Amino acid sequence: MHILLVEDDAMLGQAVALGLNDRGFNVAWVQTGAAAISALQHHAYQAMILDLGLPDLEGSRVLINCRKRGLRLPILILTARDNSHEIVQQLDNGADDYLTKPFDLNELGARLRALIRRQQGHTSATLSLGELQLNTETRVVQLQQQPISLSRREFELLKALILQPGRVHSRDQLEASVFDQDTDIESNALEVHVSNLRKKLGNKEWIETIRGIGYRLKQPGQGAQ
Amino acid sequence: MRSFTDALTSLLGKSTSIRRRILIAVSAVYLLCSGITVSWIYLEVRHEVDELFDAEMIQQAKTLAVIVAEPARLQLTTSKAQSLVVPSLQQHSYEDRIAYRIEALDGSWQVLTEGVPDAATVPFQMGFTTYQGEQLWHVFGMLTADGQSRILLLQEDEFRAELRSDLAIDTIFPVLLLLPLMLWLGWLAIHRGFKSFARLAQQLRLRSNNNYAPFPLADEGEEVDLVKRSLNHYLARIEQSFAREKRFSADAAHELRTPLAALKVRLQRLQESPSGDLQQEITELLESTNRIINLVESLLTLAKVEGQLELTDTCDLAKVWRQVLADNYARIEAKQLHTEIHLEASCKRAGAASYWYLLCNNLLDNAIKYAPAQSSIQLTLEQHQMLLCNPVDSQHQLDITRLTERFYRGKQLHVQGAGLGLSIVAHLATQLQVEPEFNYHDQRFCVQLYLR
Repeated sequence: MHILLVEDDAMLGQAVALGLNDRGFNVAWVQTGAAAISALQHHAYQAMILDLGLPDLEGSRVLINCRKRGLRLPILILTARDNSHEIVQQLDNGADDYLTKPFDLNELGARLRALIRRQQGHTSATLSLGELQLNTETRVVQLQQQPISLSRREFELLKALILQPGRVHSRDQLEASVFDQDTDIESNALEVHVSNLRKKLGNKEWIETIRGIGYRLKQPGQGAQ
Repeated sequence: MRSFTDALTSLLGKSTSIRRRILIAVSAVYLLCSGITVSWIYLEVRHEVDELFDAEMIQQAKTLAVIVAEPARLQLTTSKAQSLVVPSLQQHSYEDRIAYRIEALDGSWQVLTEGVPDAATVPFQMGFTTYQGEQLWHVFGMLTADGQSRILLLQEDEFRAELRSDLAIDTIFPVLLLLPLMLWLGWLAIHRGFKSFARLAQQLRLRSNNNYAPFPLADEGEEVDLVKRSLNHYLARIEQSFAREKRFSADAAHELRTPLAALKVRLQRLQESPSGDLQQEITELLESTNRIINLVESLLTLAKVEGQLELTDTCDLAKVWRQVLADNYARIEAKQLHTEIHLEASCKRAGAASYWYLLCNNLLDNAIKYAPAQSSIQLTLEQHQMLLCNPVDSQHQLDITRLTERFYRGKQLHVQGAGLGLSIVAHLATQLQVEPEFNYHDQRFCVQLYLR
């Protein structure tokens, strides 16, 4: 996987390049925005890691330049700034993901792989936990290879839960995933959908209630994942 | 005068209203000036009245010398009497306040009005003198033209005093009468003058926290413009200061996070390398680096919350708490902690959800860190207060008064942290206009937030 790394800090740039090479990436490292634009003109990369604070021109300018030229490679922003407005702005400008410094090398590698997979259309549409499977494209849910019929909201609820199995989701997060923003939600609407989903999954233990907080998905008979 | 100024200073010192102070000061100056004027007029009047009556006494003495002295002497010589007393007619209350005594130099005869003091009491003296008996008397003595007799004219001071008093009262009366009117007019003028200040105060009150736009200079008087100019100058400095702080935080974030990222990535690579001799040291170095990273993140957060936060948004604190609990649930479970949670369905508060999240997350992070394994954390959120309690291991020692100090960690140095969490909470609480209260009794630590 051919990656362009744009990072002006020599210590970090070198370490990230070596670390990603160790993880099977082929990293080309440049230290300026101008060098990045030039490299993108002459080579095809599968993804770019872009630092925002570059010495010659802002990383955001490089990002905008890429998108204006119609380059569709995934771009992961690497930034030391934690200003949420700026991060949102870069995502709106066409960035695909972002990571704030200091970061974990494994996480950076995993995010890059996910971005490239998504770009190449290799992203698996099937999410699974044990014998429970949910396909986001066909919207088919199977338990022990038997299809289960779910309503639209039950499907969205299960999808939100199975995306991060074992993790506790607050009821507000789940409501945001299940209901449209403009919908008036009755106070027990989520509980009704959770109850229906439990019945259809045939075992209450699939969805654990975390009292006062929310819910999480886990395999029956097992602890948290 | 000194006691007057002392009393005035004391009165002005007690009053907290500038309007009242000006009114008191103006009234006091007005009264002082009026008092001085009246006193001066009184002294002038007294002098002029004395001059007038003294001149009149001379005139009367001269008249008596011509009209009365010689015929009286002849009459008394003829009648062989020694003295002639002119009786009181009781026709006027002032009649007894003017008296005279005409007498021969050798004492052979005398003519006198009834009740006039005798020669032993008021001996003859040329010119003007005064005599203090029961009353004060003005006395004028002169010799007749032939030098054989002398005339002594006496006038009681009260005769003049009444005139002096009448003139003084007539002068002071309009001054006192006009005082309330003057005070009212003064109050009106001051009130109108201060209306511009009241408007300025209202504009200041209604300003949002992050509005540093200058106040427009209108024609509202030099004083108001002066205050506005100073305020505008101050606002500009605050804006610059906040901009500098923001730049500093952004620059510090960049300058600190980048080398730390490099250090962490390099240590991670070393940890993954096959040479096994230094693995333990590298792992420990990586842990230390992570601690430094956490410290830097806490310091940057503290720098951010010490600045001015925008409170334009509102959020649901119950939602924030559910999110904080969900995000920390893995840690709660890892420590086998029980949770007793009582949250209102909804609790709307001013301030962005991200600030509240930071505050609640720091509180819960502390509770999870310091609660002994398998113990219980209690959280209650009501409309007007929030309470988070957790037991604390008996070996921990906390000085409740120092909890919000930066880097204060008590004596629990084995617990990971930088001692900045509650300092961040305190700053956020101030900015979000809530009052935090910390209690530590019987190995139980509670944080109570009074939501206004």
